Amino acid sequence: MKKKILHIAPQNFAGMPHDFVKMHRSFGHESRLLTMYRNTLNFEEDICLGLKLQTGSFARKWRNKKVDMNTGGGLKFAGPGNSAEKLFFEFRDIKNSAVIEKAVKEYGLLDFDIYHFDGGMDLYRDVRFARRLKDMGKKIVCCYFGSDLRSRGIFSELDSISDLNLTVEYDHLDLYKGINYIFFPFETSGYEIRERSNSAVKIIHSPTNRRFKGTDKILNVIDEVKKIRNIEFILLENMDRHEVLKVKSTCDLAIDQVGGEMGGSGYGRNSIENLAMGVPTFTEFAPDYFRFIGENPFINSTIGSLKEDLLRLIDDKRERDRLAEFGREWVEENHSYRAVNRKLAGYYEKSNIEADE
Amino acid sequence: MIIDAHIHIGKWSEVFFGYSSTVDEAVETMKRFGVSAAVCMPADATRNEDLYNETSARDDFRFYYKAWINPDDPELDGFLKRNIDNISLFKIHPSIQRRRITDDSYDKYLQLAAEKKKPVVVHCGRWQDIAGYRFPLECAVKYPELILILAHLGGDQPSLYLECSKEILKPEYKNVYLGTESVREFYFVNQVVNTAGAERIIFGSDYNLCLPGTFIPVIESLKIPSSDKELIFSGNILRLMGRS
Repeated sequence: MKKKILHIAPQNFAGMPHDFVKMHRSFGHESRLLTMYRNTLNFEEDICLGLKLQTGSFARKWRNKKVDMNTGGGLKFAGPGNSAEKLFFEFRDIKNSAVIEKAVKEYGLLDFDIYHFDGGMDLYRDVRFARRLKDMGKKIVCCYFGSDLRSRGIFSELDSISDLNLTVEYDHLDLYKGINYIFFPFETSGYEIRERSNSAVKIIHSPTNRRFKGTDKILNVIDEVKKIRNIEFILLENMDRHEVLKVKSTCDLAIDQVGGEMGGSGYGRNSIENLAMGVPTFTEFAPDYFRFIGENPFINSTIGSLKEDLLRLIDDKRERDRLAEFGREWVEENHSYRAVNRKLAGYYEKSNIEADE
Repeated sequence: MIIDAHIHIGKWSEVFFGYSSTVDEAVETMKRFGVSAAVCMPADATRNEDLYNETSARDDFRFYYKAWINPDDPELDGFLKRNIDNISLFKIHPSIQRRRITDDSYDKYLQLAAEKKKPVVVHCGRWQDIAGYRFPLECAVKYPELILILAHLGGDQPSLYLECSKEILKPEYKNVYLGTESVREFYFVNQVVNTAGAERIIFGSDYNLCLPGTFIPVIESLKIPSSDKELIFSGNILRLMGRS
């Protein structure tokens, strides 16, 4: 039976919530994405409430402070830290309610069957929308994408009424026992493997955050490699993602994150785009994460092995070609809509959520 | 005579969506494709003990047993101790176990295999960091008496297995053999046989994931004398198991 599935997210982070929506649609379900705040990175929007996100220096400092306070291990619980914060959120709920309730009516937001709270956050801080849905017998799914679970933590009231909890991040499995891992969906059809005949092996690194990606250390390794091999190195930063994709498709190798401050955090959409375009990609996994992912085409490097790994791939076109093909196949086998939808259908079934594949 | 030297029976974990097959189905399939005997091992969610007992009890088909070596299996050491004389080979699957064959946890099993002259079949695949053929070759150097059969010709892709067939010609790899299971590119299999020599190649199908009937024609089509095909189909594996 085809279902109506609504995704609710603070923002369309890295395009992932919308990818889930597109995945549902590709299998005939009716699906929408409702975001609270507009994203700033040129990812597609569906229904966006356009609420005002406080971006001033005070708000930034406050958010950073919350993150710093929450850097310890274990599952964290989101909530106001003091009575001023509590008051702020109550006031914000009152302020936002007119816009939210208008959207509820306008888009029939109570008429869906399954509700995914992407980022595990309700439209209201007091979780009143999710509670209303639960009272109506709707199915609730919470899906976490990164710092939501890691730094902010779960909203315990939403968590208590959730039928299914999902994450796309490996480290969340340790933080939240019993959460279910799912590869994030990625539409491969728009990505092609281009014929490349670069006279010098072309290597790209396109960090969004230099510290996390290990950029400075990577640049040192590249300097060493440049002394002994004929390579072209491209560093792309702060560029429109469509332009980045164009450049990436012409490259022979890519370096995602190696030696960064979040060392060993594996891969994200950036790497998957590389693999989908047949660009073999270096990245660093923590050993447990690497084993967890299983058979994969990544070149798992540390900053200590990066030079040697680069030289091996620069010198071996056949291996680059093999990894290019393997990478594309692996993305299709694990991250394609077909693969992720199949996995999600299994989780739905186990959680008594009815929806066909 | 055809011996299928690489068949699985039983239930797989999620790696193959929990798919399962029975001993009866295996016997029926082997007979249907003219296979006279099979070297069987459990699928990864099946106990060694269960499959060993069931296949040993069959008197309508000849099974040789290949023990699945999962170092985390608490039953494994006891199983090997009780049945080592009737176990013909060991199987190591680095991709499923998610560790290289050079991992310390495999050491005692490799030592046992070398000592008892049990050939060890090693899955080799495209995941070069874990299941690259270079790791079993390191073991061949570490344990010179160890007999190794690199499954999927050492990598299941022409670019990998063509390279591997050349590599094993080095004298230090004299006890290394190549299994043909699930390799379909007949033209390149011919090249491998020409490079490595028919006496180093062993036929397998990778049943219950594949059918023997898919791969028997690959060997039949090789441009080699029929005596060499006989080696690939049965002579080599019988020799390695000490049964020839």
